[in-house]
Amino acid sequence: MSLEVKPTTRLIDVLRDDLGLTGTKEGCGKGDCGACTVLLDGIAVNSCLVLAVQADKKEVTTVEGLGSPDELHPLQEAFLRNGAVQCGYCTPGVLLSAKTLLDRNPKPTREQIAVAISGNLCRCTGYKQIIDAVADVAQVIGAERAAN
Amino acid sequence: MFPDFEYLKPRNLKEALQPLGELGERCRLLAGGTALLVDVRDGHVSPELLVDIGELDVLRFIKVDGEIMRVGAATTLMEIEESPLLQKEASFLVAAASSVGGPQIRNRATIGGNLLYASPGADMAPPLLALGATLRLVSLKGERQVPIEEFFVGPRRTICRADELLTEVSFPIGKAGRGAFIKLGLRNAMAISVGSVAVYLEIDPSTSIVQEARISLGALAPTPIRIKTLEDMLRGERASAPLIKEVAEAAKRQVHPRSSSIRSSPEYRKAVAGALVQKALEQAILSD
Repeated sequence: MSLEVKPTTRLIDVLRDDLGLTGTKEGCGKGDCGACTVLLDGIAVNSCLVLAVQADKKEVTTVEGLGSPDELHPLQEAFLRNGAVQCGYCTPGVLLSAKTLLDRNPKPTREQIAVAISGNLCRCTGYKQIIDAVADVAQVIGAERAAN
Repeated sequence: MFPDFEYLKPRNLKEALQPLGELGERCRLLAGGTALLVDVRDGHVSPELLVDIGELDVLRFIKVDGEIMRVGAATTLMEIEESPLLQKEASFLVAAASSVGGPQIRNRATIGGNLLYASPGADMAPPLLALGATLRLVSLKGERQVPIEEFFVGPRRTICRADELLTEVSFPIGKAGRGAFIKLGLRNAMAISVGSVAVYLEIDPSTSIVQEARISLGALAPTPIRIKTLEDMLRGERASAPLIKEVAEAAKRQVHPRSSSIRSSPEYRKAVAGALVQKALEQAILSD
């Protein structure tokens, strides 16, 4: 995809305003809350602190790239199963932090999961259900690998 | 959307240095952007031009060069955290890197940016002070090597000139020293330092005599600092619990936190300094 952007445009602005990908949320706008987390070449970043031009020639993964309403990503299914979504505002960012963790480390410990989502503030769940959900997927992936 | 600025992505060091020389402070270096872009957003700085050095390969490396470890200034804190080389040679520097922000911040923030931003609580500073690091500053006019002790001159102020670029942080390795870094934040994740301590000790294994000691503090003075009085108390002495206690007591008297209380009061920070020094010394001496 090719887009012309101003130097002052943030990555989150291009995603939400130019591309209509409103799954990525803006919280604090200064890197404290992680609501705007996306993956830039597979690495979690706060899209409010990345200039759109800095994403040039890079792969950007937003929550829209995870799954669709008909075909949820295993993480999204696990979040539903475990009650890890309440108000939902932090969820897109948390999902992407969890995805990049599992991509690198398919069988994380609960401690590693907690560290991976430590840059994502959630004020509803108290994190337990989120960690449960990510651990749930980690086990499913592990079991599938073992079965194969 | 940010206030107006132009953006340049230089292909090499010279292209980055050119505008620095011409525009001076009207131009700002952008690396991770985790601090600068917040300042731009809030109107604390209004640069005309941002020079994005974050992806310059010549500034991104971690390598051993004889007895010297060299880390490029645009190396991210996550790259430091995940480096087997640094985990082996300077595990307390790695600990400091992983104490910063959350993963999203560490994936972008750089070691050079952390030092140049020069917060009194810059987390990379105490371990680098304790390691006796040297900073390489380059401009179109030439370059200079500066001991990190001389780098910080006040809150948010360093000796780095507007036309200079920090390219590399280096420090000696291979002396079998032991280090520790301990940070007190208001919580574990995403917390800025209330106080932090790094210690580096070389101890003779047969006699337990401390041969070299360097102790540095973060967020407990207007700049990150080394406290040489404490180091002198250790050097030449046998490492022992009473000695640690004595040094920790002295630490409380040696810190002079800023009176403007960001995150905690000066009185609290003094008390914290003693506790942190004690814990860090215990950790460094007991870690094998």
